[in-house]
Amino acid sequence: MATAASPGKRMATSQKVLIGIVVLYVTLLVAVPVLALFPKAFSHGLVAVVQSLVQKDALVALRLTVLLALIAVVINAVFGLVLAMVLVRQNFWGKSVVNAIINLPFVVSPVIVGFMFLVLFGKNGWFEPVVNSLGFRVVFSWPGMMLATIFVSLPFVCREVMPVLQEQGIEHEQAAYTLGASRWQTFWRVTLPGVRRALLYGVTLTFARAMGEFGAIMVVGGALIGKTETSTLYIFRALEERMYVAGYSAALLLAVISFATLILLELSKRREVKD
Amino acid sequence: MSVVVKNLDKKFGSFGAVNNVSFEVQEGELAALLGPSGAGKSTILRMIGGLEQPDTGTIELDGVDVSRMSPQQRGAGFVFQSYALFKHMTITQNIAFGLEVRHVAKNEVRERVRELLNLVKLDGYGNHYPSQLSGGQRQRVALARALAPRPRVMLLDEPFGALDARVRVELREWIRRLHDDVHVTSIFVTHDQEEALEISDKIVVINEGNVEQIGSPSDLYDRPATPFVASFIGPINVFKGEAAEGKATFGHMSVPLPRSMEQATGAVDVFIRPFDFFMSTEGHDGRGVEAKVQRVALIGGSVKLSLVLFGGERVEVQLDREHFGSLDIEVGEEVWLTPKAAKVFSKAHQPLA
Repeated sequence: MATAASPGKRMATSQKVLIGIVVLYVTLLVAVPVLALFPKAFSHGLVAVVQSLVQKDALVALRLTVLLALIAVVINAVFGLVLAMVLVRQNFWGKSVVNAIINLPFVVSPVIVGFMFLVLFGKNGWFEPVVNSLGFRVVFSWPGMMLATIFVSLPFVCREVMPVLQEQGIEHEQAAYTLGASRWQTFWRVTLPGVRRALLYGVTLTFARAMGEFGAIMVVGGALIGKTETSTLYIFRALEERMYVAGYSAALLLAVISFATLILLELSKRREVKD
Repeated sequence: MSVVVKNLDKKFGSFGAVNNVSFEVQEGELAALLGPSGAGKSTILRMIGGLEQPDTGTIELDGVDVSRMSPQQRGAGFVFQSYALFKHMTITQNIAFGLEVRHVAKNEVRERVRELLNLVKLDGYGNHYPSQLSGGQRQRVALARALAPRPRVMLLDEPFGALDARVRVELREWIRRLHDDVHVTSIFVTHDQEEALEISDKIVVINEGNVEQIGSPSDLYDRPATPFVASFIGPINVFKGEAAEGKATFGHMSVPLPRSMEQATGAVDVFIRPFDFFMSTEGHDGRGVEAKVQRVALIGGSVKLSLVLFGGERVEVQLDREHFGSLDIEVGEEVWLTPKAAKVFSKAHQPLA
């Protein structure tokens, strides 16, 4: 294979140094902190870990976290795809503005996101009369947390899918039309399979981001124990209250779920490459 | 099925990509849209297929105006320059696509796919993915896929554009044979005059969005209607000359003007094909002109010579090998050239001969 190291078999010193830096960087910044969770969590043995994980508060928090993440995944997958298709294929006035706004969740601090929803739906907020008359609460309740989670994880699917759609062009779809396929058939059989990998990637990132959200849902949800406390909020409280095993165990579980998602993604990528 | 294109116009912004284009392709014909890149040929093809809307003008398939119909309704098979195969589908799935979206019975689909794989000489490749095939093979899959739903007309956009030279030649001969077997009316776009001359029944020459000439390959070659066609189709020498007293004179050579235009005077362009020179080692009858041989290239059965006239003008001459051998000429020697046939166009682009 023609790699950068190919002229001669020997690797240049500069290349060795670069590789060393990369390995060290990733190890110190990613691997070591994750590994550090293990001894802390297991400091009182496996039984203590399991016991702390099946506590009611921990379970309720985990269920809420997973639920919020799944809702964010479904909604952002659908709308991310629609956004990507519209932004790539259509031309309209203000398109570049929309394109820029999509990046906002990346740059706005989650705490500020939570605050924005408080301002909108909280006391004397613009939308307060509307939700009140409809008879449900947004602030300090799961609808608000759902909105915040969707908001912070919104760009991933769209940003992953857009470049692929762009590169793919429209000829495949036009070919499908000339072969007699309707727009609907073409979407399901040609467009969607074409962006499948990017969509999967975007969904994985959305899920991971949603699982880890903290600031926005704390502000908008209020971190009410057993009600609006998600796993990350639970971990924060556990550490505050010196319930170290509970905190580290829950943290480890979240990390494992995120890793499992990433590994699944890698496995599916590998299978595709073999196709 | 016949294709009739009438007064087609298409603008992209203020740029007139296609201007008042009309032509007809008869049932069972293989026609070429020939022109330089950017001439608007692909746009015309895409409008016939329904992938682009004309601003004005009509397109008729078998006498039915399809101008406002969707590509799905037109039933025209389209082969894209980039093939546009579905990457995530096997070859079989690609070919079956046009049948499956029409809900053709499964066993019928299987039979048709088998038949087409055989037709395009890809038996045994059904389970491969497009990425595992060569360019020429992909092109054949694209053809099979377009043919599967039995289209009424086939539209091919630069079908050989992305292939290397040898495969191009093979594939175009194969496409001609395929056309003679399947006999579906076909229109293909090309910028390669050799390709168009070799395999088409009819050529529509397009330049800057306009039809320059429509005719059979030999019509275009022997009787170009415009200087553009004369210079675009086949190699040709162009000389600046003057018309007077029934003759067009250029440099030290002259050719007679045709009877209908004997009275013409003024500046003219004279076009002479490399084959249309008589060459000898000694001057005769005063019409010939001296030239110096600069380069000799043997190409198969013929010999290409580059010469310089005493006026400094370059001339390309082609001789058959036997004739060249009998002349016994070498580089640097001087010879006499006499034009045997010429096309003369006045500056107003009117053909005079």
